[in-house]
Parts: sequence; C-alpha cells; structure tokens
Amino acid sequence: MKNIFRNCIYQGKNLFRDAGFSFWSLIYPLIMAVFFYITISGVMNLELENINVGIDSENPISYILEEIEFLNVHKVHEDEVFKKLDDEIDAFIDDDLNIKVKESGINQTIIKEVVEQIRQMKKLNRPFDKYDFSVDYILGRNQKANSLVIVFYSLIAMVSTYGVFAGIEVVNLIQANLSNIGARINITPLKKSKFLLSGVIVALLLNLFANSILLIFIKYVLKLNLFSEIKYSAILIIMGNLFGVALGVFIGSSNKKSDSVKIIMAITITLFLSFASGMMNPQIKVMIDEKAPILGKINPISIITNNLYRINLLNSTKSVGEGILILSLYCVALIFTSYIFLRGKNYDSI
Amino acid sequence: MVIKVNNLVKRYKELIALDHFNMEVKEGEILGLLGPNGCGKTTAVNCILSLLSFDKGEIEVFGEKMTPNTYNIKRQIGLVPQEVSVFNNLNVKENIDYFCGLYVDDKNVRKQYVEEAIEFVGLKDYVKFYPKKLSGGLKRRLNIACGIVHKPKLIFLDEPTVAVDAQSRNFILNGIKKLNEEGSTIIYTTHYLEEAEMLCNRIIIMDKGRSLVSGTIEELKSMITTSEKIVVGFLDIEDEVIENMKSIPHVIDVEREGEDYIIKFENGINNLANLLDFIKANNLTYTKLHSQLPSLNDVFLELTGKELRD
Amino acid sequence: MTVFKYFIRIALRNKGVILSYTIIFFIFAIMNGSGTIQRQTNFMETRLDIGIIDNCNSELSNSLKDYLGKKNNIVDTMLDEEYIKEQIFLEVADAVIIIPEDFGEKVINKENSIKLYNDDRKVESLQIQNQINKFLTFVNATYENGEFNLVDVESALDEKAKVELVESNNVSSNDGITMWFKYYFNFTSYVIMAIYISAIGLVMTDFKDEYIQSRTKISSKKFLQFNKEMYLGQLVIASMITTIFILGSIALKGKYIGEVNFGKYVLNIVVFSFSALCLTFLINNVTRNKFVINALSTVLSLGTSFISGVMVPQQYLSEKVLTIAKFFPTYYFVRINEMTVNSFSDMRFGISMQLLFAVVFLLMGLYFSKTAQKA
Repeated sequence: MKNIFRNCIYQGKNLFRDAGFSFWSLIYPLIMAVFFYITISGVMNLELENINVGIDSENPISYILEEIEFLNVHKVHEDEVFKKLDDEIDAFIDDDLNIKVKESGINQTIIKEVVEQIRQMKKLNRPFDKYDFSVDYILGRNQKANSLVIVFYSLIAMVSTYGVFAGIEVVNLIQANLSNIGARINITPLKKSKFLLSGVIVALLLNLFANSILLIFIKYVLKLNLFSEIKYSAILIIMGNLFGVALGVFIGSSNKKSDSVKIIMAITITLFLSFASGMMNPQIKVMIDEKAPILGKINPISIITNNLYRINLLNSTKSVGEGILILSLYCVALIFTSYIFLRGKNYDSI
Repeated sequence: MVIKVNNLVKRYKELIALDHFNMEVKEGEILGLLGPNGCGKTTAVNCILSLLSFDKGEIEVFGEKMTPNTYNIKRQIGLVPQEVSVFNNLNVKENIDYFCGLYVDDKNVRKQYVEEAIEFVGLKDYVKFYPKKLSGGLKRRLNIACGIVHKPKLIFLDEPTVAVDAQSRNFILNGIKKLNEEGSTIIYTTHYLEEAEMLCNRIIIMDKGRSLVSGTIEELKSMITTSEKIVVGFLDIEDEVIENMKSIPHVIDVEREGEDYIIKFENGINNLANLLDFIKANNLTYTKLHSQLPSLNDVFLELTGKELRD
Repeated sequence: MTVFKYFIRIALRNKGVILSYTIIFFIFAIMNGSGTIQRQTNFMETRLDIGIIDNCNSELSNSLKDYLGKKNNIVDTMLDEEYIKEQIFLEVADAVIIIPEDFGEKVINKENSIKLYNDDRKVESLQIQNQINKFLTFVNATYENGEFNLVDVESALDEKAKVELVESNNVSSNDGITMWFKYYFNFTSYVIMAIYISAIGLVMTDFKDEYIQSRTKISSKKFLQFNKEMYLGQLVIASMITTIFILGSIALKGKYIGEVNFGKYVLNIVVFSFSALCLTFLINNVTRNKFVINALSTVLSLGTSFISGVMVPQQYLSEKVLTIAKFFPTYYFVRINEMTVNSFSDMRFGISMQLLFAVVFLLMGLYFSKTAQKA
C-alpha cells in the first residue's frame, strides 16, 4: 500500500510538471470554453421581437394590422418601398393586398398568412360575428430551444476523457521496450500491476482536477449555469474519466508504435467522437441522430453529452442508466484487453 | 598553411571562452585538439568555421579570411559534429545524398560520391535503415559519411568516437587515416588519449581558452621532466625505505597508487638497473615491476595540474 | 535542387497529420451535403418542422393535420413528454402538437383544445400559433346545426396572397447550393490553417534543428539558394493541399458549379492559403519546438475560425468579437464567401486585406529570422 502511495506521488509530479499536461488538459479547455462562449453568447439571450410591416396610410386594412400585437406597422409611401425593404420593414402590403418582399423568410411568411387571412375570410363568406378571435385554442407548453449550448456539454465530455494521455504515459513507463524507465522498472521487485494501478489513480485524480478547473471557470468566470443536477452529472464525468484512462491504457498497450503516434491516435479519436457529438456545431449531432442514430448511442462522448444536457436542462434521467451501463462496459472491455496485452511480456527487441 | 589563427578572443558576457588563442595547421597533417571539458575546443572550431562570431583576432583558411559567404572555401571543408546530426525521417542513403547535395550540384558526380561514402563507412548493408534503428556505432558512421561525402580537403571531427563499440571505433580510426592518406587535412578533437597518440601527427593542448603547448607527441613528451615511470608492487615496505628510494639517481618522486608504487625518473640511462640494485640491497620483495613511458596524461598533468579525463 | 527534393520527401513522410484532418473533413462534408438542394427565384414560404400526435383521429383532426401538413414539414415524434422536449431543445422540431381525444368537443366549447410544445421566444412560435388558431376560428365560424363545414374551410384556406420577390442585392443568399459551398469553403479555411501550421511546421523543426543548421551553414550551398528551395518546397506542399480541397468541392457537387460563383471561392481560398502560408513562415521563425507548433496549430486555426464566423455565422457574433476577428485574415475570407460578388471590385477590399496580412506576416517573419541569426 505504501508503495502504491509513494508511486502515486512521484508519478503525479512527473505528470503535472509535463508541459503537455498543463497545456492540453488545463489551459486548452479553458481557451475552447472562451471561444464557445464568445460565439454563442449572442444567440443565447433570445427575445421575441415584433415583425415590421410597411403599408400605405390610405390602405383600409392598416387599422386591422395595427390591432395585431406582434406587428409593428410602418406608414410607408410607394416610392420608399424599395429602400425600406432593406432594413426597416420585412414586407410591404399594397392596396390590392399583394405583398412585396426582398427575401424569403419566416417574418415574411407570417405577414403573408395575416394578409391571406383577410382574403380567406372573404372566401369563407360567413357573417363577421361568427368569427371569435378572442379564443386561444392552444395550451402552451414552453420548452427553451437552445441547441447551441450543447457545445459546452460536449466540450466537458471531451475533456473528461483527456485522461487518455496519462493512460498512454503510464503504459509507456512500464513497458521495457518503450522507454528507458520501463526497462528499469521491469527489473525492480515492484510488481508491474502496482505501478499500473498507481499510474491509473494518478491519471484519474489529475484529470478530475483539470475538469474541475474547467467547470469552475465556466460557472464563475463565464457565469454560465450549466448544472442543476449534481449527482448524476458528477457520476457521468467520473465515468468519462475512467473511460478516458482505460482508452489510454488500451492504446498504449495494444501496439508498438512510437509515443507521438499514440498521442495522435488519442487526439484523433477524441476529437472525432467530440465532433460527432456536436462540439463544433450541434447540427452535426442532429444529422447523425437522424441518419445513423445507433452511432450516437455508442459514441461514448455523445453518451455523456446527451445525458448531461438531459439531466440538467430537460430534467430527464431516462437515459442515464443505459448510458452509465454502456460506459462501464467500454471500461471493462478496454481494461481487460489491456491486461491481456500487458501480461508477462518478453520483448522481441528492447 | 591551411589554417592560421591569430590571437583569437571570444567572450560570452563575462566569461572568456577563447583567450588569445593561436593555432596553425599545415596541409596534410592530422592535428589533435586536446583539453579538458570547457577549455574552448568546440568554440575554437566553431569560430574557424564562421559559425560563431568572435571579438578579436584573425582567422585564415586556405589563405583567405572566412566569412559566411565564402562559398568556395566552404566547398573544401567538411564537419563531423559531436552530436549525431541527421534527419530522422530520411534513411541512410537519403541522408548522405541530401548533405552531399548541399555541396555538389551535378547529379552524376553526387551519385558516385554517395556510393563511395557508403562504401567508405561500411554501411552498404544498411542503406534503407532509418537512424532510429541503427546502433550507436553505426549512427556515428552515418554521421561521418554525411560530413565527408563531398570529398573535402579539410575535415573537422569533433569527438567522433564517443560511446562507440570497439569494432566501429577501429573502423572509424582507420578510415580517418585513409582520408589523410588520400590528401585531406584533419583536425581531430578528442578526450581519448590513446586515439590521439595513435592518430595525430601534431597535438595542441588547450586549457582555459588558450593553447598551452603544441608539437608532435615526442616533442611534448620531452617537454616534461618525467621521461620514465617504473611501477612496482611491493610487499611489506616501510615508509623509511620509500624515503630512501627518493635518493636513487634521477628519481623525481615516488607515489603510491593503490597497492603499487610509481617511481618517476627523469632522463637517465640506468634508471631500471639502479632501482634493481636498490631493491636487492634493501631485501625488498615485489610481485610486479614494469617500466612505462610517460603518456599524454602525464604531459597534461604536469602542464595543467589536472587530469585530462575530467 | 536537393533541398527542395528532400523537403518534399520529409513532408510526405509526415502525411499522417494531413491525412487525418483531410479524411475527417471530407466525412463531414459528405454527410452534410446529402440533403436536398433548393433553387429560389420565387418567394418560398418558410415551412416549420412540426410533430403531430393525433389522439382523436376524427374528420376534424385529420383536416387540421392536412392543413398543417400543406404548410409545414411533418416530422416523426412520440407521445413522450421528455422525448418531445428534447426535440424542441435540439431544434429538431420547431413545435409539437398533441390533439386530445375529445378534440371536437373542446373546439365547439371554445376551450384550450391543443397542447403545443414550442419555444415562446422564437418567432416560429408565432407562425404555428397563428396557423392553428386561424384554422380553428374558421372552423368554428362554419359551425351550424351541430356540424362543421370542413370543405368550405379547406377551400377558403386555399386563397393565397400574391408575394413579389423584389430585386435585391442578395439574390441567391438563401440558395441551398450556395449555402453548401459557403460552408464547405469556410471550413476549408479552418483545415488549411491547421494543416499548414502543423505539417509544414513539423518539417521545419527538422531543418531548424541546431546541429543540422550548423551543417547547413557551413555547406557551400548559397544562403539564398537554400532558402529559395525550401520555400518552393513549402509552396508546393501548400498548393497540393489547397488543390485537394478545391477538387474535393468539384468532386462532391461538381454539377452545381455553374450555379454558384465558383471563381470567387477559388480565388478567395487561394489568396487565403497564401496568407496562411506566410503565417506559417512567421511561426517557424519564432519557434522550433514541436510542442509549441502543435499547440499553435490547434489554437490559431480553431480560434480564428470561431471568431470569424466559420462555425457560427458572423451575424450572430457580438461586435466585440468581430473587432478582434478583424485582426486575422480569416475574417475577411469569410466575409467574401458570405456576400454576393458580381465583379472583382466587390471582393477587392477583402482580398487586399488578406494580402496585406500576408505581407505583414512575411515581414515579421523576416525580422525574427534576422534577430535569430545575430544571436
């Protein structure tokens, strides 16, 4: 036990002082968070604005339009129409109830429907008092649409798997054919498994530390409240960490390529999985869910991302159990196969 | 005179790396540059090659002042640096071809040179290997090939046999001799005294940025007073007897080294005979006795008070 | 041309980085482009994505569904509140409505008849609410003798207002295919910057190794000639990369090239590539540490892409952000892609700015290389 502890301390120092760790695990996520924040802060605070419509002051329906809450009616003269359509009004209604617009869009569509309604009522040909416009037939259930915020959850999910680099490093240190230190360690009486275990513990702790820094940064510096449900969120992030380290150990022990190649593999895999979970643009995630939903279910980073926003924003824990189960299966499979690779190796060449 | 260095001074802030350093190299000789770590060997070489700027002094190579733009002189110079300086992403042949291409434009000439260089360093079986896969000795051979492929007339070798196996080392040393026989002037920096003794015509010993002595091996050895050392392994000898030994003719000093005693003689004809008489007279027993000529190490010790192998 | 030959050779041996970025880019480009492309010369009504769950299945509810289906796209949904909420959240559906069993009764009694899930803050909510209320108000207006006259309602609702799309400067800005090309080339700028800095940078770290540089300096290769060959090598590699992406766009959507201003995109990406290459030159003269180069490659490419509107369109970015973005060539590159260009003079400003950056990077790079030599 003491051995493990001592090993932890030294491996910890080794890892923490590594510039690579400090940058990629600590600073890089903060930089990414800032970028995300900058780009989506404009969109996050959405407000419903009125639609601007232009009409000639003589037009008889102008008083009807003025009654409509969501319309801003501008009195516009025929000659000014072309210019005003550029920025002030979305559409212009002429005396024959025809509409002039400069582009196709939802505002224009809404205006079209309003104008059409007048024509349609004429066609329907029922007495005016039969129309009861005061009725609201709709029972509204509001749900904020905010797909862009997924990028943050996706970033957190990706960063939780960054233990992968430490995992690769640990295996590096205990393999005699991969590093000089590995050779030294192999001839000491210390059991390889103890060394591996302390390495894994250290990797987890350090990455969790890095994750917490990111979370604190997001909450207190960027002032974004992403977490309302702490328990499950914490479990998910810890699972992410386990997965990351397990993946790293697997990559490290499964092949004989050089250190840099393994790191590139780790970066490529995590980046790809994160892209697919919507980190750069949520539309990609939506597209995958539409075209190949099974991929979304087995992508570990997607699992974490999806569950994070579900439990925190949508108050839904329905997929958490399944997610944790799948992640655990991944961890077990990765660790088991790594163990087989690492057992009693005699090396072809050191 | 292939190289002439006059009063070269180089300072790094307060540290004086070269302190009025002088050196002359004749065509066709193998000059050894010796000295403890930090004495300025590599600095001197870098200044001569115009890789480093210097504060005072004159340097002439092949009769001309050397600057970064004297390309015709550079064509005649080859450098084998202390660190193995090759591309890790190119194999043996590609590395040699690349560096040759920095000197030789003609494709056909280059092809021939490259083949000859590979043959010369004995890497024919390894042409497609990447540096990572080569042992220390082979890497050094590659390093040498890259430095001499363009058949330069003046070659600088900076500690080329560090961490090299015996076979490669022999190979390298013989190779250098061959290069010299073919007409190149060689400047050889090393720590290994046996190599210097074996290889070099002349030696310059440096310390603290200046040259202490220069000359052939014999000249150097005759500069010091110790001309013979006799090593004896005595059994049970008393201190008083040791003191008396010092009064044997031509004895300079008697030192103890572990179990043995080293008796240093200055120039004299019957040193060994005198010692044997003394031993007999004092009824001393010994397990071994042999005579040594002084080595460069002795030269160095006397001149600088330091060991050469720092 | 030894230096040139071996520069290329070493670059090609480092093709791992180039391949990974390229392959991932094209995977996403292909996935993105598999949707339908629309052409627009007339006004197109905006159709929402709506999910409908009908628990009533009466003539009335079917009529409503037909109406909504004519005006919008119907997406699949499930009677599961959490599922529906997620659809709204992800913007997979703009609205989801649930028609109760006693729909008809509720309508007659003028009560809340339909449950509607949507985001109140978005303008789409207005549209769906208007459509539903209009339909039901009409339906109730025809209520006579215990019956609705759905036929009349349907035919009334067929009345349309005429909409004229007035000539504007942004004729094709909503064009589906234009959007595809725009996104494609915007993302290309991100990938190009990342690849240039890391791939070319990695090769340069080999050449700038302290000891190899010594060998280079004492060789008889003229300084100017050496650098010429090296930069020619960089140029060739850079051109290869950019060409791959240009050809990629042709390979994926070649038949639509005539409909978009392809020349604009090509000219723009070439100018940008040049600018990125000069930035690479600057970076290589500032550092030769592999680690720093990798970090710079990721941060600079991602960062400038984010703030310049590659991931999220420029119109959604705040003023502050755009001000910072103006210090990088990517901003001007994206601007040109976004706007309609009728002649070269429209692009002049953006192109000149990118070239200006190129020159600035070059000069800074030269400055640093000179100071490095003096040391």
